[in-house]
Order: sequence, then structure tokens, then C-alpha cells
Amino acid sequence: MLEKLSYAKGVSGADEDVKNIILEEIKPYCDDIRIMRDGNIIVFKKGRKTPSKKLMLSAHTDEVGFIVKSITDEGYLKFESIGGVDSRILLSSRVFVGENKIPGIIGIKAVHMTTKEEREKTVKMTEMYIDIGADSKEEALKFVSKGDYIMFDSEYNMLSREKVMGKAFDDRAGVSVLIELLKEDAEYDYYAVFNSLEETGLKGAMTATYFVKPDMALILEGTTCSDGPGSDPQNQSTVSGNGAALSINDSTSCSSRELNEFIMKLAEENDIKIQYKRTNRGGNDAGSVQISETGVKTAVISVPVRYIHSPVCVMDMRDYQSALDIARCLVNSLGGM
Amino acid sequence: MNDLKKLIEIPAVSGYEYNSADFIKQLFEKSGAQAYIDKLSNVVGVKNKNGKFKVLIDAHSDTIGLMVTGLEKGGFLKFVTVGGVDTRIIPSQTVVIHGNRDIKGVIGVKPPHLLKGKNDEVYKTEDLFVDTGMELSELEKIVEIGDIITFDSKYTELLGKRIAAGGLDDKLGVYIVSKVLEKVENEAVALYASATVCEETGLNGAKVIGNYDDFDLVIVIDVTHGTTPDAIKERAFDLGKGPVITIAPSLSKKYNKEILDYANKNSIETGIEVESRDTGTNAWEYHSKRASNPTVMISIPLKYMHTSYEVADLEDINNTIKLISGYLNEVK
Repeated sequence: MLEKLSYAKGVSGADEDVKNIILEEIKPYCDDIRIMRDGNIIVFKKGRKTPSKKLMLSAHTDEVGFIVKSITDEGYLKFESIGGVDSRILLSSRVFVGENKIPGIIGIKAVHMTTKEEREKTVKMTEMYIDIGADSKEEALKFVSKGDYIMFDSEYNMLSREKVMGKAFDDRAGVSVLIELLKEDAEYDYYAVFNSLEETGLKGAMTATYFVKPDMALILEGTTCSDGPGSDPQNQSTVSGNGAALSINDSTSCSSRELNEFIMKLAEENDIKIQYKRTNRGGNDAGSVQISETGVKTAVISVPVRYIHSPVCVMDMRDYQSALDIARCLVNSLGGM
Repeated sequence: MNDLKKLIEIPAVSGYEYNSADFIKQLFEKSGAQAYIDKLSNVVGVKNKNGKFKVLIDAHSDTIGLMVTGLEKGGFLKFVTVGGVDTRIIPSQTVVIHGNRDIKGVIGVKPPHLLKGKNDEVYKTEDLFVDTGMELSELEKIVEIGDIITFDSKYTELLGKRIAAGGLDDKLGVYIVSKVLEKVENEAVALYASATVCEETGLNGAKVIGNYDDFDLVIVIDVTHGTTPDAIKERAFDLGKGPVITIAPSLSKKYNKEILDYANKNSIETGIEVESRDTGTNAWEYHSKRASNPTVMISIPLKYMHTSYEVADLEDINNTIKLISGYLNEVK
């Protein structure tokens, strides 16, 4: 299922494919599914008991990508990123353009024709173009148009027994965890939310939280992990393989101390490997959830994803399992809070 | 084009051309030549050895790539480039490491969320690494220092007759050589074909092939830059507008004229590239080997040279085959 979700088209604003997969997967297990006007999927999962406080679990369906800004007279596509992408990782990547997945290559003039100065400076995204093989604007327009969404063409592959590569683990990891959880029986009722537009302003979470009106929320995410050679331990954010990461605060929200302590206790009692996220940079839907109406207590559990926001994300399946275990423990232990 | 596709799939980074030598030998044999592999893994084919006009058609079999220089804790590999890789493209490529079995890896960088400052400097290759996802102990059983790494590019059909893939420089040339070999049936021509090693790292294969014999004509087939919107106009040639003939001090004026005349007579579109000195290709070597060989240089326009996805036009490949084989079939 993670594989199917990773391959799905899901750039912010065009993530219907992801939502269709979710609906297909959860329908046999959930009978209270609502789809909001902005496309958010809201699921009420009936448990054996009704808790005194309403819990919402959420994951976002969208991923970073690009959009066609214009088509040049020579038939090349100029583009802009949707969500945060480092322009230094783009050259010579294969992408798919539009609904019909027209293959293209992100190009720049050959290195032989550059000056030393040009070679040492980052190529700006505005200088790059996508080559779909068209020779003119007219030819290109037969296959693509302005405003077409563009996604990375990445392969999903197990690199080793534990590590998997693919695109969009931010946040298909969270989506996949939430789907798996919905397929299981729960001790307590909870709401599961699959919301859009995280990468472009945490917007789906705003409407979803307003709709559900939870007392507390657990955000399931894929998060930064920079643990490769040459990175100082204090700048790694998370370490791949050390378990799901619990956020304390970041640039958009401060996690509920009460929820975090409860989660740490659950992890300890149930022997689940977990780590703190060790950076306050970056943000996620918790920022929108926390400030909904009169406020919501939030916690964020993330799967560490190396090379996040690139076509070649790498994550550890043990960390994915850890996130699922924590989420399961939470929905089954709400009475103990 | 199936043979071209197969050839592209064989990793033949400079120094490791032996991987593709057997396949190229078969291609030459299929074209009706006697073929052999020499000590350096150059592949040589010959057809109609007793023809009185001795011609060599040459392309290089090696490609740019990467090479393992270290295995590190956590299953990471350090590497260097082989040949003039466009290092701007290395971050976020998927690669294949050719150890005692092929494994995949990715070349990742820091996430944008954790970057500080302006980030307007390119990544230095020495700071990058391949993530294999394996434990070091597991990795050590598969990979060792010196193993080659290739970009995991897929043969991609773009619109029209355009293709994108890695290593088109100069596997396109080797494919063309094999097709010309097949199509030339001229009693007057003794046709030699060569797929030479280590062009990207110093033209060494050609240096040796040039020692073998005196040729009446050497035709070197390689790539030149294809036009992109940002290219230097006089150095780049439109894709789909035919092979490009090079004029340079050391290249043969006589045969350039004959080949261009043949192209004009048969309505084959061609471009003209002018080099004031070195072409940076095997042609530079062949001219001055032994007692000198009259040499011409014919190139296929190629966009994004020395990246993981080079783009060419199949029509240019067909027209190059048509031009060279047509010309050689008329030579008396």
C-alpha cells in the first residue's frame, strides 16, 4: 500500500489519486466517511467506548511538486515549485507532466558551455526548463498546457531489509499509517482526517479541524532526517532507524506537554522505540490544528525521511512501524489520560 | 533500435568497457564483419579486408560515470567522477552500484527545511555520498573501492523522435558504426570498425587503434551539443536537422567536401561545426597516428551532454547512417 501511495500523483492541488486510493482502502472498514467541499476526507471510527475527549488523527495527502508556468516558443516548459524544493536537486531529473503523465527531463545548457562562475553558482529554478521533446510551442500545446501539475518520476524500491526509497514519503508515510490503523478495531472512538494543501500553507488542516472540532489531535507526518556522513549530531533533526520522532516544538506549533508525556509513557510501557525530533525548524499541520477555534492540544509523530522533498526519499520501515504502534496505543489507551 | 536500447543498458564507464565488449563484437558480427576484442577491450571489426580503399569508422564505447572511493558507517559510499560528469546534476540522482551484484542507491542532500543562509553555491562532489540503505557489514560483502556507479536512467521516449537516456555519448556512435558496417557493400572498400575505450579519460583506445594500420580515411562518430534555449548559438546544433560535419585545421578538407557533396546530392540535411584547434574527440588522435590518416568528424546533436539524461533525435541517427553508408557505397 505504501508503494501504491508513493507512486500516486499528489502534488498540492491535484491529489485526487491519493484520495481515491485512501477511499478504496478504508471503505470496507469504516462506515462513517465524509468528504468536505475542499476534498478533505473525514472518517469517524467507532470504537468499543466513547472517550470523554474527542481525538483527531490526521495525515496530509499532498506532496511537493511543480506547475507549468509557461511554454516557450521553442516548446520548453518553464515551471515553478509547489512547496519547498531545493533547486540544486532538480537538474537531469525525470518528471511527469499533467494528467497524461507526459515524460520530461529538467534541463539546463550543457556544462561545457558554462563559465567557471556559472558552474559554481546554484542554477535558479527560473533558468531551468522541462524538455518533453517538443520542437515548438504548437507541438507542446498538443500534449501539455499552462497550469499542468508536474511530479517527480521516482521508483519505489526496498534498498535493504529495512530501508525503502521512493517519492512523497512526506506524507504518504502518515497516510499509510492512518489507513492501516483504520483497518483495525479500536478501543475508543476517534476521527481520522486525510487533508490536502499542507505543503502550500497548512490549509486543509484548518477546515478539517473546524469540521471535526477535536479536543486533541495527533498529526502523523514524514519529517526531516539529516544523519548522513559529515552531519553534526546536533543538526541531524532525527536519525533513521531510531524510531518515530516526537516533536516538541517547531516553527508552526508547540506540542501539548501533557500529550507528549502520555505518548512517551505509552512508548516506554509498550517497548516502542521512539526519539525526539531535535530541531525547531520546519512546520506541519499542527500549526493549523492547534489554533482552530478555542485551541486544540496537539502532538506530532513523524517517520524520519532522509532527502525529504526530493525524488529520492529514504525511510526505515522500523520507524514506520514505530509510528503505527504509537498511534495504535494512543487510540486504545485514551481512557488512561 | 532494440540493439541501441540494449547497448545503453550495459554499464561501460571508462575502464569498464569490457562489460559491453562482447555485445559490441556480436553487433559487428551480425553486420557481416569479422570481429575481435583487443587487449584494452577495444572492439575491432573488419569487412572485405582486401578492398583497396581502407576506411576506419570509429566511435567510443566508454561513458562518463562515478567510482566508489570509500565505504562508510551507516552504509554510505564516497565517490569520484570518471570523465567530465556535469556535477551540478548529481544531487538526488538514483544510481546503480556495480559491485559483485548490482544494487541501487540514492545521492541525497540536506532537506530544504534545515538549510541556512543563501545556498547559492553548488554542492561539491566530495561532500556528497551514496545512501545504499544497508548496514556497512552487509555492504562490504557486495561493494569494494573501485567499483563503478552509473546513473539509474531509463530509456525514455519523448515526443516525436526524441529519446532521453544516460550514456548516449557515445553509445549512439557505436550503434551507428555497427549499422554502417552492415549497410556498406562496396568491393572497393575495406571497412574497419572500432568501438574504442577510454575516450572520456584521454582518448587512449583511439591512440592504440591508430597504431594498427594506415587508413585512407577515418570517420569518427561522436556527439556535439544540441540546441537548448540557453546554449551558445555557434556551438550548438538543432536536433532533427541531421549530422554535423566538423571543419578544423587537422581534419580532411577533401573528404569533408566529398561527404557534403554526397549529402547535398541526396538531400540529407547537415550542419557545419567549426573548431579552431582540437575537437576533443578521437579525431584528434587519428589524424596524427603513424604516417597520418585523413580524418573526418561527424557528430550527432545531443542535449544535456554528460548528465544522466542526454537527449537525441532518432532521425539524426538514421540520417547519419544513411549519409556515411551511402557515401561509402559510392566510393571507387
